Amino acid sequence: MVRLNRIWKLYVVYTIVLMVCMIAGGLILQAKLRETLEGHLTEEVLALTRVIVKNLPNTDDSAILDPFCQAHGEIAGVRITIIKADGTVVGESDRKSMGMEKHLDRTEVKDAISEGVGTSVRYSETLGIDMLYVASLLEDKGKIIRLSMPMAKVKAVEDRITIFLTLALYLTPVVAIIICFFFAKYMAGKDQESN
Amino acid sequence: MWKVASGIFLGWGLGGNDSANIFGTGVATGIIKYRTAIFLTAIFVVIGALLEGPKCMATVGELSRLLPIAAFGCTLAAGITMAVLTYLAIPASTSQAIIGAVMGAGLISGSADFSRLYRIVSCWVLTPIGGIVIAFFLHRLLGYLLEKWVRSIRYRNLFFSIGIIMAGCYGAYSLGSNNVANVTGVYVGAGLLSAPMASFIGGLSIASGVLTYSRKVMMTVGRRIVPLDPFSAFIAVLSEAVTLHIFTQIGVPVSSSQAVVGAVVGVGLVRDFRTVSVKMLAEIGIGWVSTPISAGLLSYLIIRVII
Repeated sequence: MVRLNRIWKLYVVYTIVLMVCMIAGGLILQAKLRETLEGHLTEEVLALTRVIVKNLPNTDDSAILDPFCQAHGEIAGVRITIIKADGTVVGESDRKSMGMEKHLDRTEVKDAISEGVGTSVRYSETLGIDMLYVASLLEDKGKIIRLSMPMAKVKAVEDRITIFLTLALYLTPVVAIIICFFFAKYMAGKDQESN
Repeated sequence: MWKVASGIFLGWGLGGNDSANIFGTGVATGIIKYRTAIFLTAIFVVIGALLEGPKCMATVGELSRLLPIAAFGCTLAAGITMAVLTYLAIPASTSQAIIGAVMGAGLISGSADFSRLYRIVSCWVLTPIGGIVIAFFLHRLLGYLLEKWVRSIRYRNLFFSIGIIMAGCYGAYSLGSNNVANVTGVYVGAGLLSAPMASFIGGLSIASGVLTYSRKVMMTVGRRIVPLDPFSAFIAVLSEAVTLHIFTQIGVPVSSSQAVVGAVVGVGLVRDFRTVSVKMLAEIGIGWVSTPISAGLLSYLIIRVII
């Protein structure tokens, strides 16, 4: 076996440190990116919620709330669900609310009851895509309004940036590692000559 | 259920190839008989797959939402890629092949999730690094403890023999728990199998590869690691097992071959020996790029033809 001198040891350690730092940096950047994009989309949905709530009829009658949700959902391009404080669904834009299961166990609904606003990202089996759910508590009406929107826009931006990020984060250190390899080889050779 | 056949084929190939990283050293040095080694490997692979296999299933399944027929195409593409690259003597990883294939299939359905890819690729890069770091510290720590407590040569040799067998069993367990997702994870994502059933079928298919197709590779790999002394060989196998087990907890399937190469480099750092050639590292680099890309292209073509 070939003996490993100090220069090669330094090279291996340098490469490991560089790769680990690069990966950690990338993971932090990616998490921050997702958080920021989700934040922007949540703001958009909350603004829509405020507009819809202004016109929301003060009733628990599904026969009135379902068509209201359907009409407003189509205009805004979102799914709207009106939920009573006990979890009963009284209005729904995409299907008939009558007979729907109680929504009290949904993360965003629980958070809305305790904090006023709750958000959650879940995979929708029906649509085959991640959905952002934003629920807001309407204290004066004793209800919760939940708007959901596909994460397609966020995912498209995230995908594009991730590809670029991966290439940038991996190609840059690879160049550094290759340059340092030849430098280490040159130095190791010199070291051997002097010995 | 015929759609699972390509997954079983992939598992069989994986078992035949990757079992060598576990008991290769032990068999080549005569510490353990080949037959005993393959039986122990098969048993612990299945146990690992059953107990912890589902942890990595989600990563493979959620990367793209596939139809059952597309899942069949993916595993078939990954299996063919592995066979061809192995024939061309390019070190290929099943994890990289299946992820490439799933991404290729996801491009057709429009469900490829590139945002999850960075985490997976990072884990691939961290696998040999993890092997290096763990081997370096384990070698130092256990070396110090042995020096202090076990002075007799006879007892030391006994420790190495038992250690290689136990590390091998742990390695087989880690291999089963981490790599079973490569074999049947896509079927869970496609809704064809439940996670426990996928773990069971995947575990058995890897075990079948170990029992029927591992002799040649085990001897080759074993001889490649043999220049290490018994203690270093034990550390290399143990470090590989720990590395794989850590990535199982993270939920990302990684390459056992790259973990063992990292571990061998780590041992070399302690002993001041260059244990891996630059050529071998360059081949791993080529494998990192060529395996997922070729599996992705093949999967894209196969699924275009069959759907």
